[in-house]
Formats: sequence, structure tokens, C-alpha cells
Amino acid sequence: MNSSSAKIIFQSVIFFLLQVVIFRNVALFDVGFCFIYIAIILLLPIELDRIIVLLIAFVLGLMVDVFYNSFGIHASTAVIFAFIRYYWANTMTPQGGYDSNSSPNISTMGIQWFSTFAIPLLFIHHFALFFIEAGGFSFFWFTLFKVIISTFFTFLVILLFQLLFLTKKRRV
Amino acid sequence: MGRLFLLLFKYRAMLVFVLLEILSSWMILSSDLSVSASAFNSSNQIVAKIILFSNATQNYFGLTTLNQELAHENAKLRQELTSLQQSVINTSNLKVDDTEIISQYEYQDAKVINNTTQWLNNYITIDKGSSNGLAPDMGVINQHGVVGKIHSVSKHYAVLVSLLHNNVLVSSKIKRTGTIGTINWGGSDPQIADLKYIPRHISPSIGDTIVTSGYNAVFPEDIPIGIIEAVELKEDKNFNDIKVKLENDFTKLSFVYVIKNKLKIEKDSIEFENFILDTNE
Repeated sequence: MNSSSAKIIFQSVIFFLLQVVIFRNVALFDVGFCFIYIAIILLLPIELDRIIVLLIAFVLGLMVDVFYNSFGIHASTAVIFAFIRYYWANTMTPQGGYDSNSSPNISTMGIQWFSTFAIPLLFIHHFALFFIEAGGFSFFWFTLFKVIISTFFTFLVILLFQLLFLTKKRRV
Repeated sequence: MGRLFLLLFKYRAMLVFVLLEILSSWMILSSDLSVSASAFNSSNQIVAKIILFSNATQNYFGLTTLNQELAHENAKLRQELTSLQQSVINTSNLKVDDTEIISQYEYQDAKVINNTTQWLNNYITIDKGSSNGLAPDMGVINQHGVVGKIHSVSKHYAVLVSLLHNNVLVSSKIKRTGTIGTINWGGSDPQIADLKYIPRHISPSIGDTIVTSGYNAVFPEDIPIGIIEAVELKEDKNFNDIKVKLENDFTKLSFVYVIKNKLKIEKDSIEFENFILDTNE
């Protein structure tokens, strides 16, 4: 195991604990939710085998489900997220391709690329999550409002994390 | 044959995706039905420990209000006790002799360690489980009224379906008229629930109290649920549309009481023999 995969595992554990210990209790004005655990999948190396990413997403989703008492909802949406992420990353391949084993973050890709990469994916994930949870489209506008606010909330938290913990690496 | 395998190999990611989606959809659809999957919700030991830890700090800041509420309840209970004692003296000739009926309900206090109100189907986790004699389908109340029903238990923890759950129906009645209806949460506002099946000829008025009917063996009679906030009677409907403001503030649950009904099995079995079980849930 090399240092970069150790870092990814450490980061994943931190994100998961943050989700179940802190962000599980956070609801800004009853509409803003943060699902930072999805960053674990978002920040996996792009070169990683698709099937492994799907399986990681499924297991991760199930673990989150246990805490939310929502058996299956997070698992299915995390798998959707992982599936779409592959195609979206392919579409957004920068000139010269991705560095091998690099995770897509703002220090390797820049903030502009990262935003365009992350926001649509987060939106789709949150959209699926909230509408499956609501059991259909009966509260369409209210749920959509929740989706939009939560997407930006999650994105901001992911961004903050990278700004806090990746700056040191850039200065070196 | 070789080409088939080649094709399968080419679309292997798609196949895995579809399989996982089918699996998780099956989980979502079956989760409401199966009580047995208790290892996969927050009544699981490790999960409950983590949740307890995350709630510990929050609880500390809420201690003042908690104390006040408990003191309030103490005062209320003391008052009820004195009035009961008074009435026993006055009506000693009307005493019920069957001790099994008198001590039919037993209460177990428990602390809420996890609770949601923002979803369509909400669950509550409490810190007492089968080692305290809890079992699925027991009713749960607090000092304000109905809270929910036990869904699954582990040794030290239990998960309740909150009253704020789309599939929970509570048999209830309008206290003033005695009409039986069913309380079901509409799904949007944690303060408001719907009272269904109140027929046209009854005209409930705003401010009427809604209490449990005691028809299903889960809740005793006359546990408060809420008060009527709005009544609407449409031309083509057989029943009134009634909105009930819930007594409980589900965003602030702290301590609850689980009701153990010692005569539940007896009641259920005689009803089952006569095929009327579950008709008034």
C-alpha cells in the first residue's frame, strides 16, 4: 500500500465519521442537508476500476443507510452517483489525459475544473436521493428546492475541506 | 458463445450497476415490511454507540429545558395523584376488584438518542431494548402525548416508527363527540397530521381535542394526540377533511415512555378468533 492510497483511506474515514456524527444532525432551515460522505466516491482516483468504484459506493451507501434508518436509499443513490461519475469524468478529460492515480481535487485540477466536475454530479445524486426519499414527485417544488440548496451546501463543505487540507501541499 | 461472453465482459460495469440498483431497490421496497432486519438500522450496537456520542454534547446544552419539562410533568402527576386519591375516598364502593385490569399497563422510561422529522418516513431510536422487556409493536408516548410505535429491538436499543411516518395509523377519537377516526401524518409539516374517516354527519369544531381510542391494544384510551386546527367538508366526499395540530413537538423529543400492555396477547387472540383483528388500526 503506497502513501496516496493510505491518504485516500484516511480521508474516507474522516468524511464518513463527519457525516454520521456531525452532518446527520445538521439541517439548515430544514432545507439544507450536507451529504459529505459522497465526496469519498467523488475524490477516488479516476483511473480506478469502474466496478470497484461501484462496489465501494454500494457498501458506503449501506453503511450510511444504517445510521439514517433508510435501508437502501443511500446505497442506490451512491451507486447511481458512481456510475455517472465515470462517464462525466470521461467527458471532462483535460488535454493530455488524467495523471495516473491522481484524485480529482482542486490542487491537481484547479477550482474551475473541479466545480464543473462536482456540481452536476452532486445535483444528480441529491436529486435522486430526495425524490426517492419523498416517494415520488408529490412535493415537487419543495423537494427541488431542498435538492438545490443541499447541493450547494455539500459542495461548499467539500470545497472548504480541500482549501483547509490541501494548501500545505501546494506551498511545498 | 465466445462472443456472448465478450459482450458481457464489455458491458460488465453496466451489469454490475444494474444488479446493485436492483438489490438496493429491493431493500428500499422491503424495508417497511420486514421487522427482522434489526441489525441494519440504528438499533445496532456500534451504530447506537456512535449516535449516542454525537448526541452527548447536544444533550448537555438542552439540560435546562429538559429539567423544566420534567418538573412540569412531576407537578402534573402529583396533581392527578391527589385528585385520584380524593375520588377513591368518595367512591370507595365503585372500586374495580380485578387487579389485572388495574395494572394492565406498565411504563418503561427511555431516552431518545436519535430522531428525525424532516423525512417522509421518520424513525426514532431509544436507549432501551429487549433486555428491558421491550418488543415490537409496543406504543410509545411522552408527557405531551403519542410519539410512535416500536418497530424493531436489539438487546439495548429500539427503533420506533415515529407518528411522523407515512404508514403509521393511530386509532383515535374526538373527545367531545366520541367519534372514532384514524390519525395519519400527511408528510410535510411536523406539527400537522390528518384525521381521517370522520363521517359527514359529525361536525367537529376547531379546538376539539383528539385522543387515542384504545381500540387497538397498542395505546391505552385517552392519550392526547392533538387539537383540531381546520375542518373542511367537500361536496362529493363522505368524510371530513380534518387537520390536527399535534400536541408533541417532535423536533424536541427527549424522554419517552414505552407502554407494555400485559393483556395485549389476550385481547389480540380473542379478536383473532373472531376475525376482527386489525380492522380498526
